[in-house]
Amino acid sequence: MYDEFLCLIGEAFDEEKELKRTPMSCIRRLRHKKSGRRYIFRLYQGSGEVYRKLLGISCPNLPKVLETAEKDGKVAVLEEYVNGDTLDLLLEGGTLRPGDARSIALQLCQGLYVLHSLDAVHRDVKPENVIIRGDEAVLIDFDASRIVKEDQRADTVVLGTTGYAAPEQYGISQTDGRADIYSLGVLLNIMLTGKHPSMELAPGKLGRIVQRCTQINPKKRYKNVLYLMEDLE
Amino acid sequence: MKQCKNCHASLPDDALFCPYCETEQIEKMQLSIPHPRRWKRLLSLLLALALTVGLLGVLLTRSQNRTAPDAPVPISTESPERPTPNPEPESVKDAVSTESPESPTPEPEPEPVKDPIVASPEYWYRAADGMTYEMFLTFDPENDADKLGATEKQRFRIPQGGKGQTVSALCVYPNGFRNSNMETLHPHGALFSTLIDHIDVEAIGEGGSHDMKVSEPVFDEKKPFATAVVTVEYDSYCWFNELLWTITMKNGDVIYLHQYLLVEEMDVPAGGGLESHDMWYNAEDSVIYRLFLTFSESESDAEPEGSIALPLQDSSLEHLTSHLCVLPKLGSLSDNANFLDLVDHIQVQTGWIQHGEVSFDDDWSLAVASVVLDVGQRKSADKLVWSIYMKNGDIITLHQFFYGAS
Repeated sequence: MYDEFLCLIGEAFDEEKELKRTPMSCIRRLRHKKSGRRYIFRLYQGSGEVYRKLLGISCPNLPKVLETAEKDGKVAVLEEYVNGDTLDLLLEGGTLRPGDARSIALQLCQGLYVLHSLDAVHRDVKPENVIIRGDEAVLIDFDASRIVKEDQRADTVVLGTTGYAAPEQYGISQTDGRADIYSLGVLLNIMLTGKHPSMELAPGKLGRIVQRCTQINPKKRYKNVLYLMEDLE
Repeated sequence: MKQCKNCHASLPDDALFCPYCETEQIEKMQLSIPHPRRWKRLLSLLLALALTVGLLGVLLTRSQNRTAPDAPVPISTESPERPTPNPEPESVKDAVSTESPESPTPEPEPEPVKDPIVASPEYWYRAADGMTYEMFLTFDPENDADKLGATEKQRFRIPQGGKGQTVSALCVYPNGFRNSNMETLHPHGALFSTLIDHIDVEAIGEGGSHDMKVSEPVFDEKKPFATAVVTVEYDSYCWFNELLWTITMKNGDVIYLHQYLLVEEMDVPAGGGLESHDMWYNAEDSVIYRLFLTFSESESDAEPEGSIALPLQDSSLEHLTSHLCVLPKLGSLSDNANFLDLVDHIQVQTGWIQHGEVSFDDDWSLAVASVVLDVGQRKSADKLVWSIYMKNGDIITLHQFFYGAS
């Protein structure tokens, strides 16, 4: 399937732009030869388990995963192109109003709820991985994601982004959905203040929400994103 | 090979998308996201139903086991009081009996004031009686009530290692009456009280095993300017010491006022500190490290601990280990060794507790150093100070406290 998939991609799409390349991965923007519609094509080394689970799911806050194939630790994914600006680009223009930040956080919670319902953890929630498509916030890039395994003590590979990664992502124990809650708390604070919570905590109720999200002990954070959503509303 | 259901192009057997006509070959499932409140209401409804069934079961059993008249089992002749269920969520409406219970009147959500001030201890409020009142919070209603300036009133300094209590008072001056005598103020202060529906005072603080405790508000009619007073028991290890007063007026207005209790004279190293035993540090390598102290015996349970209670009567606990934990930059736990490369030397100091040398040879990956403390001899309190001298001249100070507990 992997080789056939790559052939089909070559036949039906033109490469428009290489968006990102690392030693482990490559992300390209493709354009369908007939319709002209854009798609995202990912090639990376790792597990495609999360993308496989997302194949059958539709959620406005997650990109549609259309096809995925794996071979010898290499994963190929075709997903919808989410047209919009990344949140980090928007934040270059300044911080967001509390209402907007709250709305984005709520939508990301919805995306995370879907992911966590599939026993998946994103592990890389940050402004660069959030695209604002009109009124919708879409969480993208599941290359760092993993499936939570009950009998596993620690994550096999440490991934995430400095400042956003929850303490447990540094390998002490296995990460679960509360690691995403930590990252979302940091993200919320940055939307409101432009700074990491350690430098300047957002004021008022949203600041308290950030505090709870970013507790070192996962047991002291929100139990799951639904509790966080309730506080955000 | 199979055929696309739309354009009949040849596709691999397990293909889910046709790249030729861009048609998905499967129906995608739309996961519904439960509304948090509806989800909780559903849970409450299920619990209420379970309780009702249980109660009916008990009452039925009692009526079957009714004994002789001279030893009556009290049985109510009225139908059992049905516990009031929470409003049904839409998704389960059809599944519930058609005999709909009397819907409880939901508590009206308080309407926020038009210009709520969220982070201030003072607010000018236009009340329903047409008067404008100056409302403010103070920790010292006897002396501060006639002082101007919000900053003195909104912060209370807690001495490090200190536990104690203070009062927080809501004071109200009718506009223009600030310098009036008590006889003039009294009727207006009392009048304002009649406009209040209720007051909630919440301590927003978390800190290991120590949380602030706040009493119920007492409406002090003797003082015209102190409308309500609460007593706050504080502890310097509460992480975030904030008092939130929520004043709900009878006309539906809700006013929020804040005060803060701060630990005084805390050493704040370069990069900022959150707490005396848990802080962020901006290192020379431009990485934000989180440093914290813990007494935890297991790495997986390690969390910041600023204090520990030592049982005075139980002398079986002879040694404790304090670990200095550093959350490393991204990569692997072995990278917290990079933090040690930035350190010149580490000192620990205590009062009466004996301690060993700082050890860098720790079994934990999370901890960069540890020290063993001899706590066999009990006394009332002591302090452990970690001083981390960085090569760039910064000094990071972290504290832990010991309390003798009966």
